[in-house]
Amino acid sequence: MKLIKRLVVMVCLLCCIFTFTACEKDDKIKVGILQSATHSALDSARLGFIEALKNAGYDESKITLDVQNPEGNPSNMQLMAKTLVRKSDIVLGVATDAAVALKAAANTEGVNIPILFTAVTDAVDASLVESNEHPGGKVTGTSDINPVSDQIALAKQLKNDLKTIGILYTISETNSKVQADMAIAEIKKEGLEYIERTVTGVTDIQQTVKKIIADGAEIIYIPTDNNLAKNIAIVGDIANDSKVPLICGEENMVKAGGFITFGVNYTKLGEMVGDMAVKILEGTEPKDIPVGTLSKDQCNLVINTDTLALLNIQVPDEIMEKATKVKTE
Amino acid sequence: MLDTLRFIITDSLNLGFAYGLLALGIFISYRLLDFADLTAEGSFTLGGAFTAALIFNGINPILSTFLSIFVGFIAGIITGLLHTKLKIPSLLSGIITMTALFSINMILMGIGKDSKYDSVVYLSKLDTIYELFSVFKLRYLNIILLNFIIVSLVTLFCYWLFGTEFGMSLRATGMNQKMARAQGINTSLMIIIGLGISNALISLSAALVAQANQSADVNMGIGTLVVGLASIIIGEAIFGKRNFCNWIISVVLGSVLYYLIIDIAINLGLDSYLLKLLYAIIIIIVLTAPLIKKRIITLKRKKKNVEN
Amino acid sequence: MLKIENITKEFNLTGAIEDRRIALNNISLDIHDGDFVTIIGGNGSGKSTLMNIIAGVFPPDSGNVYIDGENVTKLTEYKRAKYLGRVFQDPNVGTAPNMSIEENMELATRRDQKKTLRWGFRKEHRDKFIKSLASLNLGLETRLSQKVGLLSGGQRQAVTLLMATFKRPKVLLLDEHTAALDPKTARKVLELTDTIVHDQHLTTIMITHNMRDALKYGNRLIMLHHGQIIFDVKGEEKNKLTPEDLLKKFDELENQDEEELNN
Repeated sequence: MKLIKRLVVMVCLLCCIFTFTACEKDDKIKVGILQSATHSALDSARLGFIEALKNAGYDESKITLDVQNPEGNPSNMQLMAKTLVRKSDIVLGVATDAAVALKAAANTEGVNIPILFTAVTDAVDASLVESNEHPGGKVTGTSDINPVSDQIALAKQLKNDLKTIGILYTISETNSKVQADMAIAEIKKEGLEYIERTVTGVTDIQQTVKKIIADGAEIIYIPTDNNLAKNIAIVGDIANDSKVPLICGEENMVKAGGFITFGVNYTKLGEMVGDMAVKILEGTEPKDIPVGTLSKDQCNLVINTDTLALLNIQVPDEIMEKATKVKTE
Repeated sequence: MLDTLRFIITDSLNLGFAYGLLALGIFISYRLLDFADLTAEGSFTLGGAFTAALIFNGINPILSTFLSIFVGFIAGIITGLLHTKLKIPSLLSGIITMTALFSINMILMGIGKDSKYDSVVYLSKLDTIYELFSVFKLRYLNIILLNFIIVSLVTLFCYWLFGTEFGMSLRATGMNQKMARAQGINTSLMIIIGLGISNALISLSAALVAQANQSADVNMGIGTLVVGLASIIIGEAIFGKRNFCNWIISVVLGSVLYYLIIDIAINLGLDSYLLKLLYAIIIIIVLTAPLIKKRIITLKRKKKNVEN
Repeated sequence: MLKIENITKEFNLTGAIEDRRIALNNISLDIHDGDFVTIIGGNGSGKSTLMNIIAGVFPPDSGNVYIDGENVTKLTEYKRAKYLGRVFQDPNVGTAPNMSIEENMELATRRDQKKTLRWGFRKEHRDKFIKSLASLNLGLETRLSQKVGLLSGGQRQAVTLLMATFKRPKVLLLDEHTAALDPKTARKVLELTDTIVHDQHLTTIMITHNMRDALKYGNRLIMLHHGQIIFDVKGEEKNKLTPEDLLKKFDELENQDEEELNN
């Protein structure tokens, strides 16, 4: 009996809470964003998206924005995804797990809204779309697939007599693995050797970097890996001491202490998916919008001059001329 | 707004029931066996990875879900053996198993794929038990109903099991090992099997969660131990534990209530980074509630005495 | 009924020489069916170790233990429980605090059996429990479903005693089981013990530090010192002894020890 009484009290309390929460009945378009964790690349993408919408006229007067971030907690991710798909007219998932969660939530809640994604490396593998050219459903977006071949070519430019490239990434990140596999294929094509090493988290970064250098890596390639991006300073400290340049997947990693990248600009990636959102809001079906990627002209060559000073190596003039120079933040 | 209320209730029932199994599993190890078992995050991911891997490779989802019980059981047994036979301290035993499971989970998720391992399995193109159990048109209603049925069956099973001779011996082991042995109870065996059952439930919970979310990944177990413990604490504080039946139901309801609170916070527009602070505050309130209750009763009595 | 043959037990064998202790030194003891033996001895004399060896809590370094002719030395604690009833010094150890009196007693009914998946509560047992508890005259027979943790120390020891003797044990081991109780309750529990032992003709070993009790109860008295039996009296000889006699014996032993130390 007491149990039932308590349940009734709970439900009444809930009803009270909700009568006090004002319901906004307005005609603004509701845009939901689910970002899986705080992280400079993901943040840039999100801001690019919002900027693109604003530039097309979709600002606070026309849309309400709801940004949710579960900071990696799986059950919160689910709850936030469900909440967003129910109340939004269109949603954006920043990073693969957020996009997958939104798609699953829409399926579960029986909601049929357009779902956009960005910062997803392989949307087909993640079952988000049928194919990159013909997404086929209510989901489309932009992929941060890296110009890996250009990054490996960069390695050769930095060191003429390069023999061995190290590849470092976090074992639990699928996106990283995809890029690492592409890098390996590219390295083999160039007739070079590679050393592939993985870390499981933060604690084994130091030893793994030391080992990969001890095993003979002359340059280390790090794809757009969330864990390593967060901890690039740790990698950088050891690599710089051994004068081993770090080629990073994207420029935020370079700004945080890496050396160089020819990478995807996440802000531009976000803007691209923002433009897609505008198209969809104005009538295009997601299935007719192919998954977008940045062309080489849209990629940035970025070099960190502080790291350059620590490494004390010679960089070919053509690279120094073309590159955007940044300092460690 | 009534809509939002309705959805908060369905969301919390949805997750609350699925994670209610997790709470029951942790309840068995922490409360009944008095064993601080850290295997949970590993065995949770194991259940999800295992079930998803089987479904991915074409095995019937019902069978896959059912088999997740056994993998979890094995994980628990390993922790139990580490502790009872190798005399490794309980906390460390759980950590060892949990750590080993990371590798096993990666391998499981790579089955049927080109590489030897993977960190995620996507199920949205495949049928899960919820697709097979389509009583309603809306998937979330199917999830709630099926989860409710499964949790109820498991709760009934637990109620029965812990009332048997074996179950009583297990509870006695958790309360007082010396006395249990003096009454002819093989306490090592009780711990091993108890941990097995505990982790079997945790695995089953993950099998349901992975299928509801249409994906399993190597990080899905993160934070689940805290969730389970919080559910138990909240459930006991709000719904009581006057007798065993009351107790286990409180644990499951605690899980529902936990997600209810989180969902309310999310829907009230609480900024995500504040959610962790919210957890801490909730736990504090819940834990001090009995204390406050006692104070009120004592104050009332004092008043009465003064009046007389 | 109970035979202890050349039992030796040392502690801290791998430690420093100062820390090594010989708890039991080649001790042998023959206890006959129906004997009620009281054991006394100073601290470190080996009384508790002896009881633990008999119960199987740890194995001896050498020697054998026989119960009713059977060599039980290799049996672990829980496997040996079917022969033994035990009451411990700490009232909290003998029962499971969060389980009811009924549940605790149910456990005791299965001390010598395999634990199956049959339902743990038997109606037939309830009546027996009530009768049993009623004989204690503590009013516990009406509180079967009360959690044992709520009972007082004396009540818990009484329940433990019932649990130890519910299924007739071959040997009843009492390890200073009234030491933690106040004098009045201790008296009650001891009288209860005596009654039960006599009614059921139980072979009993009782460790006590109270010399009056050691003489008052039982038909045989053993004194341990430095892991050896130095005194073993039965029947008439025992009845003639007074507590002062025992105290004198203790003093003698203490003086002996001091002399040894000084040499």
